[in-house]
Amino acid sequence: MKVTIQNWHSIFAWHWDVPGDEVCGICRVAFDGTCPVCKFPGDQCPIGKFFDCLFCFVILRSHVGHVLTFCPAIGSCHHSFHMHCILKWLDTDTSKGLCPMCRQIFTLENSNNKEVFEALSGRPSPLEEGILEQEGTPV
Amino acid sequence: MSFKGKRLAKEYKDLVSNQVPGITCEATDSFDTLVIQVSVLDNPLYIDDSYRLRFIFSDKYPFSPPQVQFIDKIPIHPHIYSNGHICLNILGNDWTPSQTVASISMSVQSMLASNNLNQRPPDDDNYVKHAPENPQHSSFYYHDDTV
Repeated sequence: MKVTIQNWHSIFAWHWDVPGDEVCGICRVAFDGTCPVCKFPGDQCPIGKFFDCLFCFVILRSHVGHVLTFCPAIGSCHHSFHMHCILKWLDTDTSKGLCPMCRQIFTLENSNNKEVFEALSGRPSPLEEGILEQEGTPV
Repeated sequence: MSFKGKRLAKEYKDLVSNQVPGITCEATDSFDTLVIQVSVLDNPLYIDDSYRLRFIFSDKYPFSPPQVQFIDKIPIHPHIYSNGHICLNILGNDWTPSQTVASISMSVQSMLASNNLNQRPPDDDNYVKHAPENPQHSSFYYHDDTV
């Protein structure tokens, strides 16, 4: 028997490739969902407003919009958070720049994220140990 | 729902469904306050009692710690003042948002379980006289890690 395929519809699903139990360590929501600040992906996302992001944690790397860097914030300690959640935490005095899970200085694993991180938080990220040592206290 | 509300809704659900021995969550209709009943099963100092631990959450939760203290009957412990205030670093300077109502309750429970001193903190009388209503406004001096 010969079968001739006349047309087909392709379907795909995507899923974040993050280590650990795949929920944000701060808000406990899965990465495939948005952080609690955002109702819908992209909807009134305060970070997205500026960066034109698709999801609250999906960062459009290029202003032109052709090159995308999709990322939850994964620390070099392998703990992961929504970008929104970790920025909010690092913005508090209590955080002392530390990872909420392991209390090491929170640094991002991926260097692309580093630029994003700095751009979003509007200040140098606590990534270079040199800076930290000079100032004495974590940023 | 707010950040706080969403997270506490999840935590409440977990507390009710994944029961930890000796830790029971009282029913609540608001996420501003939560009361957890803590009992310690293997320490003769506390064996017959159940204690009520009250959590008050500010709108900044989980980015700032909840206000936690014992109410009604106060367990005797060298780090627990007779007004219910608890001297515990994770409720102040060492708070992180990955801590939960369950994890705090377990910390307090284990703090009780490992204690064998039938006494209040040395400065109890003085502290209780001048203590602010909110224990977070006290600057505790963490002087003793051995208890």
